[in-house]
Amino acid sequence: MQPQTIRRIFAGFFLTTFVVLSALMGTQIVRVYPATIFLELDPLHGLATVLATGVLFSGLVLGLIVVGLTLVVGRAWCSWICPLGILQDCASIKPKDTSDRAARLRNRYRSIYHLKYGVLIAFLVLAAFGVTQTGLLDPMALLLRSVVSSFLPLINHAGVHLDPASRLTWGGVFIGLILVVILVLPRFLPRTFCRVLCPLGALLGLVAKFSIFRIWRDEKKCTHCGACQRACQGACDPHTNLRVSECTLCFNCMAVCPEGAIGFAALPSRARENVASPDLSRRRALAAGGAGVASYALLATSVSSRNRPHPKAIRPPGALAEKDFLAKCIKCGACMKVCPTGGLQPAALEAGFEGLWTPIMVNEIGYCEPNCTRCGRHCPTGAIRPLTHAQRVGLPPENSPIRIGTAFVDRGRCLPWANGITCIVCEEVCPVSPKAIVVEEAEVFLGHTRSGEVHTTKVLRPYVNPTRCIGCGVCENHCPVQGKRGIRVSSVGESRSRENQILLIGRHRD
Amino acid sequence: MSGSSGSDGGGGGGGGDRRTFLKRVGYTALVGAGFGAGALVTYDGTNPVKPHVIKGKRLPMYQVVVAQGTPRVAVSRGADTLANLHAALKAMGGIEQFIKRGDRVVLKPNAAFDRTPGQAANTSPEVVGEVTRLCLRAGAQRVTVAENTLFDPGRCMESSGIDAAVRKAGGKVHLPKKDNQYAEAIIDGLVLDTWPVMKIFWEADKVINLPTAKHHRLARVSLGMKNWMGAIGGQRRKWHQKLDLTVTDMAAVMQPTLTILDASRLLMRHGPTGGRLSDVKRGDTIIVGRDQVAVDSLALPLLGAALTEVRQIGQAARRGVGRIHLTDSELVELKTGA
Repeated sequence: MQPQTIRRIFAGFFLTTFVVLSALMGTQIVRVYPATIFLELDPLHGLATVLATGVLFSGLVLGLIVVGLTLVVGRAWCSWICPLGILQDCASIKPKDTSDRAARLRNRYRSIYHLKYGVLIAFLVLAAFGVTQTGLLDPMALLLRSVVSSFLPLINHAGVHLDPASRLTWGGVFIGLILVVILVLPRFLPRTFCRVLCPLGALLGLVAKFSIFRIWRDEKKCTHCGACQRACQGACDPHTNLRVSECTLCFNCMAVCPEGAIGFAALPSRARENVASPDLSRRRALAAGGAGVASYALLATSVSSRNRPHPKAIRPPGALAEKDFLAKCIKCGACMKVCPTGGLQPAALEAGFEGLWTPIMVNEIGYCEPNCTRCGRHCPTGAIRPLTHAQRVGLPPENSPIRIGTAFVDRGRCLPWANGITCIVCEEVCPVSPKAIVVEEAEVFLGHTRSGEVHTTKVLRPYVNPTRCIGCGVCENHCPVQGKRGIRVSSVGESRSRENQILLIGRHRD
Repeated sequence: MSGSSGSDGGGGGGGGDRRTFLKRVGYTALVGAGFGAGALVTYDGTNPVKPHVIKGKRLPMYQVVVAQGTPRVAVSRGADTLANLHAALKAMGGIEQFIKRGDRVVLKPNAAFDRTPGQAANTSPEVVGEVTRLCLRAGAQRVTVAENTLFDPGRCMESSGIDAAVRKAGGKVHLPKKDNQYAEAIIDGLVLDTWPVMKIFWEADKVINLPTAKHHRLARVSLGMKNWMGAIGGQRRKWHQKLDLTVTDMAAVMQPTLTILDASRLLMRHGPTGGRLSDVKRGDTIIVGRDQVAVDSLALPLLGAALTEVRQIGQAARRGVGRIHLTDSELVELKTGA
């Protein structure tokens, strides 16, 4: 069997695995290993979060497998395992679609391809400052996020209900459009994303510089026909000095070489290789690092949930304190996928630019199920802690439940308060015991009768006790006042923050 | 990128090949070992919760051992404010009993408002200036007037006249607004465990509280203990949720060398900001004491407040922060002028 064929079998297997795991993750249909294994294998997340926090969290250690693989054979990940790489390959324009000359031109190395190293350096510099933004472009996070926030809601709408909850999305169109662009561009330039932007590809490219096995070309047999370049996916110049950092090991060159002049081996004497270094000059590296520093300065000096708590940046239970959370969250969407109510959604700019696509609770869509700890158990980086049930609900020895915010009654929109209409759905659904929402009977003015008498009625009016409220948002979710609800949760009072508190916290609460 | 096997023109004998190959494997192993070691050092499988451990420091002791027979409090009444100040200090045994050569002194006036001296929201500038001068004359190494103002520091200093008075007397003005100018102090109180306090308090040997006497909507009156709210940082508005307890918690750990209460004029209504001259009346009194609770309680009649209305004073007395009931020898009352 041709290595190219073996590669296609692998690619098919991994792409299918990714899609199936993503779709089934968090559903009760069948229990499988979560799709986050792809994120854990991705060493960029491990590296970025280590730079940002000094800690390599749990499963992220699996990234070493891919580093090891790359050190032996090169960037095999990109063509054999990476689902986005495989999708790029499938979406790429094929050599036979155009003239031979055009095909060779498409696969020529272009200087814009060094951009990905700049992206990588800028991201890593940002991470060193505690700002982890690799998830914006990292292929695993990008693809899982797109699947969770765009693709699955789409097929859910089409009638394929993999999740029990309705999958309305908060900005899923934007996330989906980015994926569409990424999948359309290869129709013009093969593997556009991989070649130009992918920070993971850049990282693996730098590692592949030290790989033992490489593609080699036998100068004696080569007739310089250019067939290899026409078929090349990585734009790694297999017809001349191989750019080992660009080579994604698709093995197309080997398959198409009419002379059998291209092989894959560890021995330099047989390889007779000339290896070009990654296209990364010191000046470019410094410029990219400077861009990282400048971005950090801009992010640090603009208002975000890092420096000013935002009422709508309601984080899932178990989320670390905002600064630590932002240093770890890779915006992959795994938590949102497993959220049973669908209330966990990718943030727009609620948490600042830095917090783009990080998870927030949107209680109009779904609430935070009070006994649920799924999001923390699926978070690949530990930005959300895996909680025990006792920690979540505050059984001894914790004694205090996880609070993610506090509900406030909007007396101008609450039916009993504003209109004298009986309601108190919020009190009824409040899951805290004793209830965080209490009611008081009051006689309220309704208007005047025709004879001029004051017309009143008795209603029960709700109050929130902020020391009991856990911010779950069931009340907001069920409030019959559509649109802007009559009771709404703000992030204030969240137990992960010492600053974002209404109440004086002291030993009197211990 | 440097260091890898780089280009290798091929050719070469078998030995050269082997060397090149081993070199390449060596580099590969080195990079692999680097990643592995990094992972080993940073690996953490559990993501344990870091408890909110706030490290605080205890505030220093500012009180001094006094000669036998020194009263706890001296009250001086008369039209001349500075004469009152001098008389009361003299009755306390002179400022030299409290400020020694080389002391670093922090004065904490009430200077939180963009108000003129006549509006009586801040401590009188002549009192702050004179105390600065007296401390320096007693040999203080430096005198710093510190305040976390409620309004813009520049405006507060200019309107109150305190900046000019202090500089003229040779003191310094410190108006910290940055978080890093505060440090967590251990309070260990009923409601406060720790709270950010101006760092300058740890760089002080003696502290003199220089409050003014005025009306306060929530606390009923703002006197000496309440004045510590201008020495703290953080989200201090939260103190209002349990104001009597927070103020008492703070006063219990912030025992000043002296409290000099400026009751030369009194803000009777619309405190603590005031603004209208019709809310101000003459008080013609200076109270100096080494017991802040006693000083506060003695000022109540001036503001027409009853002890039962001012919960923090009763709280503080019950908790032993200071005393309300003084014996005859502990309280000296004076009159200055005609």
